[in-house]
Amino acid sequence: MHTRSAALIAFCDAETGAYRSRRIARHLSKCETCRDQLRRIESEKDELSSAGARAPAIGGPQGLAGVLSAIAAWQDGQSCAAASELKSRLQWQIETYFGSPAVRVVERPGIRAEELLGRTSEILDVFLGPNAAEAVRDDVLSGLAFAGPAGETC
Amino acid sequence: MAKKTSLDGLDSAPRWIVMFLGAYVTVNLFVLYLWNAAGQVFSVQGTSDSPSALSLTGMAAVDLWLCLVVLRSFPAGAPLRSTWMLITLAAAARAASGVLTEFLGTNWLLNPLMWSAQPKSGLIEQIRHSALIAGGPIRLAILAAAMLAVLRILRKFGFWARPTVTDWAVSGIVCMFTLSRFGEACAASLAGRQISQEDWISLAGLPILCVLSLEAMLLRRSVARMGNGLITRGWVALECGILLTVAGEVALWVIPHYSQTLPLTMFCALMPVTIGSVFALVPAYQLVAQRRAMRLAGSPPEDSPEGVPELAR
Amino acid sequence: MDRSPGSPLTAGIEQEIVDLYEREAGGILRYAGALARNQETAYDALQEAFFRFFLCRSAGQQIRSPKGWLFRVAHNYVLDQKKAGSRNEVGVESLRNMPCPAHHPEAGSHVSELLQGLLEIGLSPREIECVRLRTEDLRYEEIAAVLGLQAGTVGALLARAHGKIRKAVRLGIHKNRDFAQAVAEGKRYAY
Repeated sequence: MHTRSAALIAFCDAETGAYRSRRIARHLSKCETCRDQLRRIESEKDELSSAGARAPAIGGPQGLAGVLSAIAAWQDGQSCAAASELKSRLQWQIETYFGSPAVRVVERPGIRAEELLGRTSEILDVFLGPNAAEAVRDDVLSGLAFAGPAGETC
Repeated sequence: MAKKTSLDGLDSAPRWIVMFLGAYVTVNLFVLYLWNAAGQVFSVQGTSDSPSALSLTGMAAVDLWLCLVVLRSFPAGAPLRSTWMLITLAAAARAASGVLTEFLGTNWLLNPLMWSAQPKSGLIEQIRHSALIAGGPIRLAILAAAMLAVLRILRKFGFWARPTVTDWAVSGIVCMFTLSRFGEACAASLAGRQISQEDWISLAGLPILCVLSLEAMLLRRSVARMGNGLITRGWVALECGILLTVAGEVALWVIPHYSQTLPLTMFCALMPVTIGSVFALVPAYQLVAQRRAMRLAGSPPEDSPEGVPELAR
Repeated sequence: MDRSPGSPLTAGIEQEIVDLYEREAGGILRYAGALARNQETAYDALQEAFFRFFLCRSAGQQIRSPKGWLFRVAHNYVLDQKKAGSRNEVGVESLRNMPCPAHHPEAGSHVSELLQGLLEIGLSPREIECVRLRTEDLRYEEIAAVLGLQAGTVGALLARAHGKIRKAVRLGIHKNRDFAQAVAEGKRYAY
């Protein structure tokens, strides 16, 4: 019996477990049809990858510089509008999922936005589960407009 | 845009459970009213208990299913995984107990053990006792372990509150009740009266109930430190479920001692279904919180051909 | 733990970002560009992904698979932007004037061509997403995390996509000759 094409694709992508890989490899050593099919899958993959890679890659240094300057601006407290927005969003999430008194427990006076993010993430991870917590993090961080070279200056 | 109020899907599971419980209680209270209005001419005790058994087992099955859905969202290694595993096991014990008691542990026509020429009464009795143990002491012990795990996590995050005089008083009352029950059993034994196996099984669960009542009071304090959020509601439901179990156990013992006129069967029918529904609210509220989080992140652009796949796995 | 600016921990995170950027930025930009069909949005998605990575790492979050995480954030960012609908109306002129060095007038055009081809042969949007992410060398688990699927579903979607591509090549319904011809080279192995 021939190996299914889904299994061959997974084998080609090194996504099959050790035991299954050994079984498929054993079968391939005996079956010319499946070997042909695997070669075809590989060639298709190469073709799709090379078509994708034909697009010029990003000009590294300045793109990276943009990210690093945004980080520096954040660290220097220049993006304070984004930081305070982030804090208030986090507070709102804690209120929604736990309640207002929980905000006082989680948030210490003078806490930095990223610290509050860390504490909130941790508590949500534990009580809500990692997937739902990740979704809340995405929601909190989306549209904060801190990705510019330097956010709003305080 | 007006917020859409929907009763579809898991988001509205708590609403469905509360509606079901409301309808069930209303019907039972209506029957009680008729019984009173008719001058208690017919026997409420004599009415069939099949609807109650069916509701109880059905609710236990719903609870188990919701628990399994929640459990899947906590991968191995997640701190609350063990708590949800224990809560799921407790729900499974209750569901299994319900099925075994009502379908295999009862002398009724649809029980396959009754079909043979010589009904296996001994086996039916054994099944009934095993089911009572699973749904009683074993389930309570599992719940106590789950509560301990969740209290430890709440403490880690600073939501811990020391037990107050009220907490100790409630636990003290439960301990007194336990001692009274044991005293009564000892007295009966000394007087030469035989204590049924059902009574022994019930007695075995009482010490665990003492621990559970203290844990429930601690959970109540800790949850009060959190507030009234979506996640908190589930833990409030757990605490209420345990306190109702304790209250039910006490009431079942107290009523026959002090009143012969109250319809005990009616109370026996109402209490387990209420407790079962409250326990089912625990995973239901957790699911509401999780699905809300997923929905927020996963709402697809209306015109996007890509869309976003279903995030709730 | 000291997470203040300039602390060794923060410096370590910055170095992690530099390394990751060098390795993954090209792929993320290509992917976001193809998804958004707008290079400016793609560039913003890239910046947003790396900045969020910095924030989450600074907050002490452990990210098991940074590559998949970055692709997921970029993916969600593009979808958010599409939902908002504002960026889609950016004209070609503004793209030309964009100071970003990442922008290349042809960037993404080959990818779009390829994807257009995939659409033409009847691949579903989800299958296209899987194929796209696979061409960026994401593991099935990472693809599943980006698209919110189970890893097993990714394998099934890829198998279905390959089946459709093969069928299209056999029937010769693909208009893009380069693509069709290249894929057709595999025909000689066909049974």
